[in-house]
Amino acid sequence: MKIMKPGRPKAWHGVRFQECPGPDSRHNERGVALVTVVICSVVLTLLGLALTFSSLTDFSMNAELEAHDKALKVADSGFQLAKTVFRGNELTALLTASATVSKYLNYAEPGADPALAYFKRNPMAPVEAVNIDFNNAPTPIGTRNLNGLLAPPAGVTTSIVGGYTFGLVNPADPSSLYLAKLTDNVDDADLLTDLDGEVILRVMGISPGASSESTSWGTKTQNSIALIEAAVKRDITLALSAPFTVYGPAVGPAQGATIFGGNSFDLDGFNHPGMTLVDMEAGGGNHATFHAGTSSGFTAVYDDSGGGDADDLINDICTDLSGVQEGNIAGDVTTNCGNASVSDGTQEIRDNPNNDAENIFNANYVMNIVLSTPAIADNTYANNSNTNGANLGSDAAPQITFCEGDCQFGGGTSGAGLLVVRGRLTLNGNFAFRGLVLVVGDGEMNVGGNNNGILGGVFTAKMNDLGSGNWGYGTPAVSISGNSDFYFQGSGINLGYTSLPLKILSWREVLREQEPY
Amino acid sequence: MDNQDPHQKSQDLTSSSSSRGFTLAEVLINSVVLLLIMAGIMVVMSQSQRSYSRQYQLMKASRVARMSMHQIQSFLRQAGNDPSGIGLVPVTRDNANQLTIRSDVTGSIGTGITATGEPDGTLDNLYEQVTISYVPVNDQLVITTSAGGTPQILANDIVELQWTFYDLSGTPNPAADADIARVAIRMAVETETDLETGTVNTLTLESEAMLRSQSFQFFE
Repeated sequence: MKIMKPGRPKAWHGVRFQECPGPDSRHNERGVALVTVVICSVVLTLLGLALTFSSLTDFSMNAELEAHDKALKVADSGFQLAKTVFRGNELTALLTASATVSKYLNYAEPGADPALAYFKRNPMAPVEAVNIDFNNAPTPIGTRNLNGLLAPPAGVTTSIVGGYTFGLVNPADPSSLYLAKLTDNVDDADLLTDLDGEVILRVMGISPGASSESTSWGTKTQNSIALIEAAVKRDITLALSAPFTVYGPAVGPAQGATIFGGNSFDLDGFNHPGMTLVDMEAGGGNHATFHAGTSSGFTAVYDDSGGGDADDLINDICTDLSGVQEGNIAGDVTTNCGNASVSDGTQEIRDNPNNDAENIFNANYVMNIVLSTPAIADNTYANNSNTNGANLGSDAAPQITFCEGDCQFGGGTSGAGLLVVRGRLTLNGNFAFRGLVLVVGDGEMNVGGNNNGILGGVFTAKMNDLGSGNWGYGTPAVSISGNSDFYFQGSGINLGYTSLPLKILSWREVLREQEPY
Repeated sequence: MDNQDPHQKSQDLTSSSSSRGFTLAEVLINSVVLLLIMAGIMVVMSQSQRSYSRQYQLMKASRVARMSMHQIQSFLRQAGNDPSGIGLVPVTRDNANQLTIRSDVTGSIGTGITATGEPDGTLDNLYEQVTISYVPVNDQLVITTSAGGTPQILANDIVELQWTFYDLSGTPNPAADADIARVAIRMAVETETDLETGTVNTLTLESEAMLRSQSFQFFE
């Protein structure tokens, strides 16, 4: 190596070249190239970094949106699942069901101010739902009791963390968690007792670990959540108050010349709280033991704007009944049918404090229920079907059964829930059903043979198609003979109409800024 | 370290061969080569800069479009929320470029626009009566988040906004606003003009929103 002349560097021209021999000059040139390359690299790196940071910001925003969208979809799917829990269950029973869950954060809960009741509608405090790492849940700092948490329905995969039983809307995706909770609406000051059939269902969808955002709790936001709220209503139009209700201006026989045949049939409007399906299959069993007395044995309904309501219909029934047969229709209401308990229920419906009861006067409304049933039915029978030995549900698992036209059941068929028949319903021996039977359409019901029993209520109505989607009530036809028993049971009727899904009155997404807690 | 004799060093420095500078030709060639290299680098850098700029503008436009779409969808989804039964019309077509979206979503606590809490049977709170207007002259999407509120710019550079309305059966453009059950939205966003190339890129987003209150069947 050669040592360059010491001293202050000279001007770029000449001296430097003079001082530096050839090889050193080339070294300097390489230095210039290096500097150029470094500068270029730095500039390009800066550009790349800027784009990368911008992309990361965009990615982060996109991830937030995506996580929230997923949580919203999970909540919405969870909502569909949660609705199925209502089947066959009383709303107040669901509202008051209690669960003990873990408390993770020591946040202040709002007091008893009714205006802050919304906090109690949440299945989980949002601040907890956002912060808890569901894969590695922290140690709880206590417990709290919650009412109205809805357990995921049977068949839904669950994940249990801290006493909360989360449902997975996608069994293969452990990050598709939902929680549902039911509270009462503002029909009274109490969020646990339903008075009007309307309740508030909140479903929280949780998409865990999608974002990281600092919170005032000093923790990191682990999850993205979405909270949806729907006001849902149970339709009480079909909450009948008699074992057999006929709607129409009149009624005729479905078979032969008379409505009633023989002396062995039994229509009883008394309560039968202890009666079971087995009792009924035995042909009445303990029936006589449970005379509590609330309903008539046969109710006629007709909303006659001209006055008189169901007078003509009652007259048809009374004219058909022989003196002996009158005793087969029992109840706490007696009218002008001798000993038979046959009543006009029209005014009672008008007087019901729940205005929904009057929907039964609206043929379109009732037919809407019937027409909506096939889509939600568990069992569907084609026109002219003849079924023996079928299982149409049980008390624990009521089902919806729909007959598209004429249907005959017998031969040991039993069931519970809701039976809807658009054509003629024929029961011919050994049919036992607890629930609600709707014979709405052709409005023909022909019951005969041995051991036909319905514990709950029957509603028969003829529907005339008026065109353009409109319907009007016509004259139904009923024949009751043989050893056929119809026993009123409020809980049986409830089992029937509570099998129907709840109506959704409203839907919204609850935003953080709308609910300070 | 090379411990060379200073005399020898001096001799080297003063020798005619070592004191010879670059010839003009060498300097020119060197300059040309350097210029070519620099030009190449400049081209690469310029393209990188242009690519960065284009990507950045597209990203910005995409962000604007997505956020706007997300917000509009969110309002449309819950349009018609009416637990108190006040009888509101979820969406009205004020004119070809303006929608008003109504839902009772809050207001039970406090007073005024920013009241919070549960639905209170009124439409006087934040996000309860939202008006979304497209102003083609300014390429702007403008939102008013409450009745009588101040319009705010939701997005700029919106060069196209089309909404198509459907009723529950899927028939487009129902005569009555009350029958609107679904809204399809098509939105085109333009990037800023590239100062170098003068080009403008356009990004188009399409989406649909179902009005939940209108989609409830008799039983769901």
